[in-house]
Amino acid sequence: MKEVNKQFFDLQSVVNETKIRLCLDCGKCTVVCPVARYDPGFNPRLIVQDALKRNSHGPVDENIWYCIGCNMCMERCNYNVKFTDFIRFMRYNALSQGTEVKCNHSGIPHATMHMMANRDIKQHRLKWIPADIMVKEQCQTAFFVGCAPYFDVIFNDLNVKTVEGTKGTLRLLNHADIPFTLLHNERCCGRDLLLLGDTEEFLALAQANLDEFSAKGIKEIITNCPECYYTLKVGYPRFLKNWNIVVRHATELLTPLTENGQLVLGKLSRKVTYHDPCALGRYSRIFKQPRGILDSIKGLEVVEMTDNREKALCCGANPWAYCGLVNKQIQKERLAQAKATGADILVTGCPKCQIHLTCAQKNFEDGDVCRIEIQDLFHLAAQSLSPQEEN
Amino acid sequence: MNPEILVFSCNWDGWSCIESAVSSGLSYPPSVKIVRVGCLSRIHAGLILKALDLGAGGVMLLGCEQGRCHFGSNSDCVTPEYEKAQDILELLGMDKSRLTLLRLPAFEGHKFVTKVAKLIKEVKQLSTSGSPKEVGGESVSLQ
Amino acid sequence: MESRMAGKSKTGATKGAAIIGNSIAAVQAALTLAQMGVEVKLITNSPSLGCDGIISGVSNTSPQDKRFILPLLLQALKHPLVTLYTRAKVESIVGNGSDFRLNLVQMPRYINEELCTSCGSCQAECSARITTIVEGHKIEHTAIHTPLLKSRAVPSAYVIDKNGLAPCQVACPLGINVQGFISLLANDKTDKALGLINESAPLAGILGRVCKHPCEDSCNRSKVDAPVFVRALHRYAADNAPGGTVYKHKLPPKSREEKIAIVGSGPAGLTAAWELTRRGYSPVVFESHSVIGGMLATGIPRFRLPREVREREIEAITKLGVNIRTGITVGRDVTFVYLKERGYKAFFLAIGTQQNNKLNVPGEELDGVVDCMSLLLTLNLKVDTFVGSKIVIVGGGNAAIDCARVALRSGAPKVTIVYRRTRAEMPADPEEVTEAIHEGVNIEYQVIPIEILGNGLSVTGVRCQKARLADEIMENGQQKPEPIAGTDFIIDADHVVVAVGQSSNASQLDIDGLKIEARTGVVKVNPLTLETSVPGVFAGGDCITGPNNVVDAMAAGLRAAESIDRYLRGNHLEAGRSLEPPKTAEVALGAVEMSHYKRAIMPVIKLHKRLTSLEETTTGLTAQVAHRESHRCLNCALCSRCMECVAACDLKAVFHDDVDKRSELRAQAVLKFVNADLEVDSPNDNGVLKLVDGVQLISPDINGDLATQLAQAMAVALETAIAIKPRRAKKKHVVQSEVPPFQSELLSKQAVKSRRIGVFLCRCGDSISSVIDFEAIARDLSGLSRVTFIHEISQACTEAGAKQLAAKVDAQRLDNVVLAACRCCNVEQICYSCTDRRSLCLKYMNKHLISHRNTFMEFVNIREQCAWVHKDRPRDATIKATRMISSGVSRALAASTVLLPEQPVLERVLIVGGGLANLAAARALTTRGHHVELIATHKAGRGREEEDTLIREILGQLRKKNVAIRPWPDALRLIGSPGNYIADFHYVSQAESVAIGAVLVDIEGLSKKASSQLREPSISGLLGRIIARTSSAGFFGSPDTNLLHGVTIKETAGIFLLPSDMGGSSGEQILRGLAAASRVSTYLEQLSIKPRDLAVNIERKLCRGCGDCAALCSFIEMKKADNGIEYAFIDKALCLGCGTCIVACPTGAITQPLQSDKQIIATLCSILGPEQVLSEVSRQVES
Repeated sequence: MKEVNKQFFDLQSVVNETKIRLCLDCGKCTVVCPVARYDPGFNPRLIVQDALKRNSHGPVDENIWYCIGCNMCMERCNYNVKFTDFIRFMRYNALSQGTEVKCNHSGIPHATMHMMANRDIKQHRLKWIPADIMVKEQCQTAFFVGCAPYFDVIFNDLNVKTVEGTKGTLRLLNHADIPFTLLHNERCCGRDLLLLGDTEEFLALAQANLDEFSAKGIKEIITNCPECYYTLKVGYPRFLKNWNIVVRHATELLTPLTENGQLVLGKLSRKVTYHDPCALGRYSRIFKQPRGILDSIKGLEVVEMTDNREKALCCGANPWAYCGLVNKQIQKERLAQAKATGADILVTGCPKCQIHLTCAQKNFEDGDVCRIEIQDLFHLAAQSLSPQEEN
Repeated sequence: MNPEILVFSCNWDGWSCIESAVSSGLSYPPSVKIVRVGCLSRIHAGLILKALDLGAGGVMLLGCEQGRCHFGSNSDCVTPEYEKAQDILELLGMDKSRLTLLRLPAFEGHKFVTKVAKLIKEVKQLSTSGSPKEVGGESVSLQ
Repeated sequence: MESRMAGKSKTGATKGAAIIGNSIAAVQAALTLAQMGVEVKLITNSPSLGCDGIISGVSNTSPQDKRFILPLLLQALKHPLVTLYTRAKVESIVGNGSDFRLNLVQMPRYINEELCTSCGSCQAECSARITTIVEGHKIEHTAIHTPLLKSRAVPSAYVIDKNGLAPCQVACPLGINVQGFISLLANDKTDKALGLINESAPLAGILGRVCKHPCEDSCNRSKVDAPVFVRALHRYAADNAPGGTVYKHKLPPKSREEKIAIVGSGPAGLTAAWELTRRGYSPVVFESHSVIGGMLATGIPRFRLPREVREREIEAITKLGVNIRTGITVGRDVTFVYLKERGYKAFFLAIGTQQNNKLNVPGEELDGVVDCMSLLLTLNLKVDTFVGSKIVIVGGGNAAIDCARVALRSGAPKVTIVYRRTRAEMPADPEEVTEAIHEGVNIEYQVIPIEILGNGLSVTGVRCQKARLADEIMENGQQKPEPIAGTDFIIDADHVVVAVGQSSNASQLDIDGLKIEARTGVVKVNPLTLETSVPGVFAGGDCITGPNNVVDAMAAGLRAAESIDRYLRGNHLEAGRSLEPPKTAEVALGAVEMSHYKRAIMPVIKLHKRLTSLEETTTGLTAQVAHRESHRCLNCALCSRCMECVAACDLKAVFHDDVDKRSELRAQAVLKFVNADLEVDSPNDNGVLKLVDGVQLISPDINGDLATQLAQAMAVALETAIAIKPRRAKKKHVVQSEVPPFQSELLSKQAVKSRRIGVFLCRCGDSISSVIDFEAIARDLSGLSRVTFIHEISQACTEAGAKQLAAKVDAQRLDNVVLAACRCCNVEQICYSCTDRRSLCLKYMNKHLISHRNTFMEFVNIREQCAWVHKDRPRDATIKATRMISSGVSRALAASTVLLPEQPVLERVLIVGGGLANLAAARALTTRGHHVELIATHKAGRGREEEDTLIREILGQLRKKNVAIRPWPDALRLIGSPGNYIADFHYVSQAESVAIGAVLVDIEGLSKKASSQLREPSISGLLGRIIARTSSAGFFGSPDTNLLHGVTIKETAGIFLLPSDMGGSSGEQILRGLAAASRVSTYLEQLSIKPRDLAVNIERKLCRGCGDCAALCSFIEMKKADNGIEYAFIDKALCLGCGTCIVACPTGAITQPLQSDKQIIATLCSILGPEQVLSEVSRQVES
């Protein structure tokens, strides 16, 4: 922990940092908290109170692991207490006490992240790039792929193709003549480890990425993954010294171009509804750009779900741990909302939303109200350019 | 110095191979470490990666032959995990050959010893001479 | 040696069944009977049962099936109701219907089955390497060895191969264990070799030089090339043992009061004195000469027996405490009467022969005529005595030859021996004669001296006459030589030595009533006891035989000592003694591996050296030659009784004097299993055992595979159980634990911080500690936090070991134990690799530690996995062992075991389907006393005549027994937990449900039902899931595989599937039915079932109800909560613990208390990675 400043790891400074003392016990957070809705035992307020009482001693309150970090609470909190940051800190604490974390998916995602943190690792993560995509050998702008290639392996039983979203983004960038390069040895952004409280490994990954960027002389980063975007844009500057790289979400670049006609998308006659990923929406306040992309696709009918933008219901995501009964309920609810719109595709910009919502459809009892096709925003947009390229 | 090899062995035919290797006077290097489990289908990619993460140079999955599972599970649950782990290794730029799946009938001590020797040899080559893949890094060509 | 449990039930009340045979079927029958509460005596002729020994009964066992044999053996032979009698032969059976007496003989194993842990320490020391022919090829092994030579066996106790007494030992008058000391020499244990010799006799250095070696004459090796050079090896041991000669007392010195007088310090006297002293007496030896040793000193020249050697050997005897008074002649200086007055209770006369026989020819009184004894004496004891220049020696015995050779050495230029007969008749040792001639002695054969010529004063020559051998035979059995007239001739001589034998004069002792042979002058004795005509007075040696040899004299000494001991103790002198030599071992020379070396040659000094000094002629074998020579021994007796194993065994489990044991067993039923190859493999039965009525003879179906054989055995067992052990429906109280599963964590997280862990290292005799450095391990492990105690034990798999361990656990207040030994898991299961000792280890640990203390134990196998496989790399083996043990510690810390409640089993069975097999099962189960619910269509079968009659018949019988026979329901649902199911039957009209404990389903019947009916009966619930999976899997489809797997997987569900039709003939179907019935029956009669240690737990909060697990395991059920939320559920009593579902579960909701991810990762952390400080490891896993 040496190279990082104390403030993230000591209770007092965290309390100040997260303004946790300002909590008025008004309970608005609990009202909007999707987890609390399905798990009466989960109550953000009480978690905070309890934590402050125990002053981070004694046995760990299992509830801290069940927060999905959707930030709904902060949305409603009048004093914007940073509850999710506080949870993250408590998790860090629990881990350093040696508490065992119940990982999902046999802990494969975590193991993979740990291995990526290894400095002398030489990945081969770009095999999937098709010939038609133009990548610059040398370029100050790098496109940050994220873990999509890994996801598609780890979750092959769900048969998700999150890398299609990445391909779509790259095609759109090519189409808009935005040059970029790709990094052979880019690491996972580390967000999941950070959320899980494994700050040490997160820092290892962040550092490794920073080194990679500087080695390649990268000045600007574009990404399509909301989680990567938020982590690189907000997380890295907080934790890393001398970070001075501009981070942009693909929609931030593309939407303006569609508006001023520099980027013209094709035609798709489908009815879709857009699901705001927490990291892009509530965390990064990027609501209109993705919709802008959809709007610029001719023939595409876009409808909104009851809960959208700031109020959008989370996909039930979490850092690949403690995803269980409650998350399933949340996901089902979200899918039901989508279904209710009458749309035939749920569009999301986040590979993780894609994974979680697909997973929720895998059900012992088949054929219920939650079946709906799920597609990535950029994959969809790119298809409009050349429908025959659909794959 | 031999690379460390971690063998996940099923308790039944797999373990019987290791045992009979010893009882028939065969031997394998001390760098071969064995972890016994009730059934090989208990081992998931997470544990395989963990072993490699913790420093194993190679991992061997040793179990009963198809359809001979002691628990009578005819559904092959090992292969998917094995392949998943291999694909992840590939993404991580580690050679697939670090992981091997070996199914043997009971008491085939000799086969076990030869196979484990083979694995050691391959892993050695990777770590010394280094397979082009492992040091060469990216193979995709960029304009 | 009795078998492990033979102690429990010997004879007494007629109980249980006796099973004879060593086929796997016999074992299965024993197990099934025991599981039904019948006491079983399993009688086998082999020392152990094991894969290779036992399977001969099964003609076609696939290697895959072989896997199940050892687990089956372990289960059967470890069952408390099964008593195994090994190496046993049933000589006769008497009795009838229900009360049999079996007369049993158990051949010795020489090892205590109870004690032996097969650690192998004895094997490492065993000096006899022998070869056995197994299936055509020779296997070399030690005489003490694992049963069935290396293949895993139960019991694993060692066994010694013996083959009576070796001819050499039988031939040796002293009974020296010749093969024994040679085998020790072969292993370069010279001290021990000499020690072994000195167990039987003293004076090894002397015997090694002058013994007439009857051993060599009887050596089997001479049938191959030439006998082993035993005498030379005897001498080698005596001369080269670093420790020198040290005699051991049998009883403490001076522990016996009685005074004993021994007259004469010759070989006989000395040996008697030696033996009596060893027996605690303090005999006094009276010697008339000033030197000790009799003939050894005065008769045998120094070039054959150097003075130093003699003195060395005699000193050893005096060191032992023998008191020798020289210069005292009994009968002159002290009288017999006087000695008696002085309180001497027993006497041994070993006075040898003093009087020299005369030639009885003219001129014998002349000066220069001497007798051989005085010549030898003077030349032996005095220096530069005169010898003539032309010396003639008369006689042909050793004395004559010795005189001649000693004369040469003392400077006589010309030495001639005259002898009456031919060389062939010469009594002297041939090799001595050869040497003499080689040294230049001239021998005149068939020559008789008739007059000694002289010049009135001294000798000038000898007049001789040629002789021929007459037909007349003398009493000594030789032809009488008769002179030939007119063949006189003269040999010049200035010195004549008369060497024509000596005779004793016991009369000078002047003992009243001592009978003496008038003509020869020898003392008359009882040859067996050596007692003379005077009670308490014994005699031996030359004085009872006339001139003889050293070894026989010594033998007489031993014999006399035994008699004197008996006499003084007032025991019978003759009881149990005999002059008959014991019978010697038969050896099939063809089968023996033998060294190709030829008999060694005794090195001798140069001729000129011999003629100029009295230096010893022979120099003895060199170490290398001796070693080589010792390897020529054929180990005729197999085990050489060198006793090294006895010394090596910590557990005192070796008994070389083990003998046949006879016992009478009583049984209500006797089953005799005939092996497929009709008894050929069981010579002890020879197929001649007379079978009385009521003894069942079971001969396996020759082309039946393993499963068929087991099925047959089960069927027989069930019938026997029904016959002799009627089922009493008893209510076993079942402990219903208050705490719901997985609430009562024995090792909760809080506990971890204060946990005290003890590590125990098993030396396994020395087979682990000889390779692995326990101190190093202890050093490294002490770094591990939570490890508060590290302790070494000799044998963990013994009851004593377990008790010792338990005591330490108490004393040290340990919470967990990690035992590093040969056992490799802490799970109650027997896998294909499990062994006798491993299962015993757990048994004893359970008994003394785990069960009543709830001490959590981890086992780490450092024997096979470290000490054995890496024996040539001790350091690496030690490091690896340390890592593995620390991983055990980590697992202990990461474990979370829980108490799971037992569940009672209802003794009621539902049988679905009316096939012949099922009906047979139904009938058997009813007679066994279980409640049966039967579903069967009334109209029978598939139109096979004889089958249908049977079916109708059985249905009839069942109705008589008022078994409820139901028609097929439209729907059948099975719910509830194992042992306590509810079966719901739905008919169009009504629905009913019954409680049952087990189900037997005729799958084939089902499908037939389906086809014959309009609507297929819908079967749901657990039964439905199992059937669905089965029909898809095909694996459990075959009840045979099912049956085999039943050996290693204990049936949890109590649901048995059985295609009625697969067997074909109705006979086979009934057999299958009975086999199935016996499995059902054993399931029901266990009365309660306990979930396995490995049973999984599904956490509701993490279960997303995706059903991936249920898709893999039919025991997992998807349930729906009231709020419509699905979740996976498993009854822990059903779970087999394979853990597949854990991998399938995306959320980690499914966990195992043992073999959890946490434990596996903890293990990985401990055994992998660079040599990090182990304490770090423990920190990582303390969570």
